[in-house]
Amino acid sequence: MIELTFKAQFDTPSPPFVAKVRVHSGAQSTNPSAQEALAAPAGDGTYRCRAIQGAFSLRVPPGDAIDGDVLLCVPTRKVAHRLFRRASRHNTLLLTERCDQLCLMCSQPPKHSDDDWRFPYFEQALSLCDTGTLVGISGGEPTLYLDSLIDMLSRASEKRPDLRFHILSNAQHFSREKIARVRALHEPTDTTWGIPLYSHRPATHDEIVGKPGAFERLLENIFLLGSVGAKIELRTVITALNMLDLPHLAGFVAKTIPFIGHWAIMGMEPIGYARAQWDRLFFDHSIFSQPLTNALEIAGLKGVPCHLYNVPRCTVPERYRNRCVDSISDWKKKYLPECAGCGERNACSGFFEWYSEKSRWARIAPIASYGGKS
Amino acid sequence: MTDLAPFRFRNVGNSLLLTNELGDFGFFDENVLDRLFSDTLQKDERQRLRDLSITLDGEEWRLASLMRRARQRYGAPQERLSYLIVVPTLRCDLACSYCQVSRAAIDARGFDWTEQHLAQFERFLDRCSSTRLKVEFQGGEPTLRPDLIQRVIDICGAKFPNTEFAICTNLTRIPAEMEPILARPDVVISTSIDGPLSAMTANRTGEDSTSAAVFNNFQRILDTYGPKKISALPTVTEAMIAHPKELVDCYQALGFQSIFLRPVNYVGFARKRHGDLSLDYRRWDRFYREALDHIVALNRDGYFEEFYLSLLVRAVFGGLEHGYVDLRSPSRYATDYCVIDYDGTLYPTDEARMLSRTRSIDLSIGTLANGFDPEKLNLLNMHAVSQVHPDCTHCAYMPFCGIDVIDDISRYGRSDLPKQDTWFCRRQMSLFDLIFEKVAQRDMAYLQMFLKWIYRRADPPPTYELFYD
Repeated sequence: MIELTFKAQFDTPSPPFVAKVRVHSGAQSTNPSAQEALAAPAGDGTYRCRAIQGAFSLRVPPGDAIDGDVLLCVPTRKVAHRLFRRASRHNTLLLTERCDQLCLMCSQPPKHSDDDWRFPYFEQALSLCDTGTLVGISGGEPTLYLDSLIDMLSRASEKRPDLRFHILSNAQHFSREKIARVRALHEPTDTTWGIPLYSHRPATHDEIVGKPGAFERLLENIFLLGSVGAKIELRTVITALNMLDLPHLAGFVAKTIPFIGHWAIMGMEPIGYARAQWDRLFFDHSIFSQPLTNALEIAGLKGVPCHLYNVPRCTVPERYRNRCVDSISDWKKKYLPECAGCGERNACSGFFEWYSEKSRWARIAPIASYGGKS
Repeated sequence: MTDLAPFRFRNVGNSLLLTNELGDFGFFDENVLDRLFSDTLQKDERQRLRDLSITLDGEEWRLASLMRRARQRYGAPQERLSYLIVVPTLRCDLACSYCQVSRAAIDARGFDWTEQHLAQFERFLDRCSSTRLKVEFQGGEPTLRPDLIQRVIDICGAKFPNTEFAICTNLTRIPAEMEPILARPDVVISTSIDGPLSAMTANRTGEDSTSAAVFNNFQRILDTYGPKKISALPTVTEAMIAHPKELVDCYQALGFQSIFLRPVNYVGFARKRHGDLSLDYRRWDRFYREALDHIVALNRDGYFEEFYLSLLVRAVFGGLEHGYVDLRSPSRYATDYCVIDYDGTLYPTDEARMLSRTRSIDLSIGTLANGFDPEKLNLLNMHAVSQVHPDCTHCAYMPFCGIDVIDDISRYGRSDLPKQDTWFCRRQMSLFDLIFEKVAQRDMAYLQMFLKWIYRRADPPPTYELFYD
């Protein structure tokens, strides 16, 4: 598992700061520029870094590269958070841990913490990350700070028009008054809103997200977003509570909100609340996939682009394997011993790091060869 | 506060079918409307009426969704002319009993396109602003003039990056000059096969030897160019009306997976030769249902489609627009489609050309030289909107149906007959009833066949949710 936070020793106490790593083995006479951390390998996986805020040492696990990473250094806590990793296409800023929904299978249960102190640092990081980065914004619920979020992204994209944004949101916090601001953000930038909808039945959706009235609010706001031309990716996590609704949800999406750009049906992440309630929530689609494949078929028939995220290819019938997206972020992705002989491993999502025997799909088996029968 | 959005209903079997403005549907208990208006709905009924957006409890998004769909469906299309039927000659070497255009004799003069028509056609194409164009050659027998077909293809090819051509031919003979045209990948041909040899002779050729030549030519094209090159349509007359199974089998034997069971129209020569049959709806219905029973049997282990019913099935359950021009509303004649006759006259549909040709009524809407006549076009289009037609507006099937004023005019000489007395409406009602009865009865043989048609494959997914959403 790739570490997203390094332990760090800071020579001098200083307030938090953001710096982009440049690995540099040359003379000590070179001085770091502003917002730069010159890192020299010091043996044993340690890097000696110099920034204008002071020098510090990082311990980097073997095989991990840090050149080009953007760090949020917090000397008082002796850590450096890797906000952006050059080697990854999964870079997500966890904007806040607060949330107003309490989804039954939440992989990252909300905390009532103060996290807006990080926003200025996130903004600096956005100005430093590599060209063309796809920036994920996640939570918690980022739109609890909708104004700050839009301010931050608007300013960042003014300096960095090359950035693209993918914001995960429960879509509960838009309003007629604020929608003009959303439009102002996404018109000049390439922004997608990832929005979860779990069922076409209001009661089921509300039960899953733990908030009465959430469904109605969600639909109102999806139309509001649609009215300003926002790009929307609808997201549905497969649980035992909504699995049988999926074909109807496909019909509902096609009929009611076909202007969404994409529908992702997603495997549950076995951590957080999901792990705690696994037996109640898990639906093994590898044994009975029909509701899932019917949803794909109905969506396809009615012109809604639809893919499977976090779903290993061997767990769905062959005909639908090309719908599986290699979606699990590199830092929390693993393969199983069975995967060694699989011909489709390179195109597969793999498994979450926290996937275990307890959360096992019944039918996992290597696929003979690429495109071949299994 | 509960509001009602427009909805329609019809008894189907033992249930009441409710449809909303855009064709979402549900089966309900027969007394549901009494309960709706006496505010005694059961909880499940209340939810399902909300899901159909028939009752609205102040949820603006449901209304917004309906409005968005209505605008998409009925709003002015962006598309301009992209499908033209052209008639390079009205002459023909056959004299079919039902010839709808009263074709001209093979050696007649003045029934072919001239250089002037070609030049006017080239200028007319500037109205077709889309990037693709489909041209269907009708007649007469267009292969009497391969040179004109080639010229039209060249003119279109120079103006459009994407072209498709369909040549409607009787296949009695294929002139050598046609071969390079047939070899083009963007050319397909369509022919008439009314049944086995005897039916072909009775309806079309008058001689078994000519009928045999048609079948030979059909086979040769199939062998040379493959099954995608050629399609065929039957016209059902007295010759086959008592033999539905044989007609279907004939098409299957020819290698087709689809047949368009098409009744003889009441146009042209057919008025004299097939007048009784073409007005007798019940005889047609008997024929059709027998044929359908056979097609259901064919679908048990394979794939076979009745084109028209499959079109309706897809219109109801498939959710995507079909674009079949005789089954639209508003018809919007001459927006994306029109017919250009041998003399340069423009018509809204091929049937309109036929009617005008027999001088029943003048349904021309302009000329190649002067373009469309907006006044005539508006007059026609005003009457081709089922959504506001008093007979259609309350019909449960209106959201899936179309309106065909030209057919009404052809059969009854007027377009203002009560719709339920017209052939078109009776056929539509009968087919929609059949579809929804099978769904209400959960008739698995039919539902399985409908799924095959919806997905156009022999192994469709078991998405029965489509029928009960």
